[in-house]
Amino acid sequence: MKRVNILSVCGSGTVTSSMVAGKLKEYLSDKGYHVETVEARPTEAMNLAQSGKFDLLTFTSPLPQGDYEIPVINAFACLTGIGEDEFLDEVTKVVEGLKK
Amino acid sequence: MDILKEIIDSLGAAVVVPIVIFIIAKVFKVTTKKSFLAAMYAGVGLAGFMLLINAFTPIISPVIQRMVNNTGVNLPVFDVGWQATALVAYSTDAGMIYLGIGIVLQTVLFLIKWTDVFQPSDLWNNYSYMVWGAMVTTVTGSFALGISCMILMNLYSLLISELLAKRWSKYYNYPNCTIIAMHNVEPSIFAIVIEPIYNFLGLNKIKLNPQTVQEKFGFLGEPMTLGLVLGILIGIIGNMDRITTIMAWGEIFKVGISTSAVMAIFPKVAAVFSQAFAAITEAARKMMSKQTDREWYIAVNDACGYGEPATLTCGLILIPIMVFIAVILPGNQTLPVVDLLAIPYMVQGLVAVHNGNIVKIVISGVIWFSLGLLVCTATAPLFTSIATTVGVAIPATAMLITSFNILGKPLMSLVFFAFLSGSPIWIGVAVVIYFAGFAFYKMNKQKITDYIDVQAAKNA
Repeated sequence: MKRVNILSVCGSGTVTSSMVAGKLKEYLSDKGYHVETVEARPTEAMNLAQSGKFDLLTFTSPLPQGDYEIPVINAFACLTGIGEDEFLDEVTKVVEGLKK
Repeated sequence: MDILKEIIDSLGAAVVVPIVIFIIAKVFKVTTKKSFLAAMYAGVGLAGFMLLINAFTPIISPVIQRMVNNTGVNLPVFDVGWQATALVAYSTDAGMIYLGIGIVLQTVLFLIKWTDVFQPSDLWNNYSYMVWGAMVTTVTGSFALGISCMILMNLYSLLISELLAKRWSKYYNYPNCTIIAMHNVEPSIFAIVIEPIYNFLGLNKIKLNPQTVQEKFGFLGEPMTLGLVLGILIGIIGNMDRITTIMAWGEIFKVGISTSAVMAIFPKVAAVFSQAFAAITEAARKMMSKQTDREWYIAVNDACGYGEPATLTCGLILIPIMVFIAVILPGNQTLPVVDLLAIPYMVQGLVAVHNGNIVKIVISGVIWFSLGLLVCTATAPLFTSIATTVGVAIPATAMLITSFNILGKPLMSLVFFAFLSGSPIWIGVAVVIYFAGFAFYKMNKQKITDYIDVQAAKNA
């Protein structure tokens, strides 16, 4: 089983980041991936993203500018439900492109 | 009814809340597997929270008690933060009832066009009404009064949210979205009223760069560092009378590291709990049918604004200021702690109305949140008592708890106090003011939103 590590960022690493993480876990495990997620705050996102432990980053809060070194995807669609399929497609594309 | 109450009381919130979540999820036709998982998240989050807070209170309360008794620092009200408050609110009987009522009410209000904001997409923030309603129910013994209080607050916050919607949406650049959390839209009323006065003083011409502040004060916004600094500070003040002993310094560092732990771990525990809301929120959102013939807004969680530069920066600047004010403000007994990290949520109404003008936001924050501290002080005994009934163990008379973010609401507390009095006159006044405000807003909607926008544009 392929492993995917996702860093999910919101304001406090509490409410929306865990909802997005839960959604991705469910969606990707149906596609045969084993998903690990970590929820985080915007100010710690950069260090965590650069730690090399994560394959991609999703966010619902604006992020500090900079080079996160991994694909960064806006998960705002998960909050409204509008454009959610496009968000999931984008994640799938990134996940499928990962070198294993 | 009495037997039901006895069963509920003996099971405790960590068992009953999951059952309620499961039932609501099933009503919304969520699959049994998902409903069960949602229920488990709720139960595990609550149980974890109780274990954590009940380990923390015996460490912090003796220090607070000695701080109050032996020094001039009379701050026995400890701010445990919004996450803890949400978990307490969802565990109360009144809260569980509103979980169901809220979804139905908010959907109907949207569909009949009473409001332009579709609220069930941010169900999580309903705890903001529950905590006040639960306090009303506890004091008056009446569920009817508690629930009426929650409904009226819900109506008020929808009105404020609608007033703010266009501005928030434009400033934070989320088309057709707005925030709904009552605790974070409330301050925008103050901002709208004070904005012309600030401009008269020329504050609209001052522009500060958020980046430099963030680089200098960023460490303050880290939960572990902030927790350690505040914990050690409380520890030192609480040990003043024996500061030369080894025992004192042992306690000082223990309180420091424990406060740091609470600040870092509360969000994780609440994160487990909040996953319970994902499935229901998603199901409730399906009722948001396409609206073509009207301007409308989807309620989104206030996380969407948290990291915006002016928002985050004002949050940082206000951390040391609010701690200082807590110490010197006459009549205040509240020490803001965990919710100091929530200030970037609390200022969003101010940020949107003042259009990111940092000086204005900080001044408004200082004024409004200082009033908030007084409201926290006034409501702390009641909030502590409902927290105790759902299983938070707080040693009697040692300290009280509050949430600086959720309970420090000057305007909303007026509605609460009206219901708390049980007096038909005061409740009547609260209802009449709502309808008057509602009618005035609906009749002048375009003019009012235009006015707010024109004012905002005056900022450099």
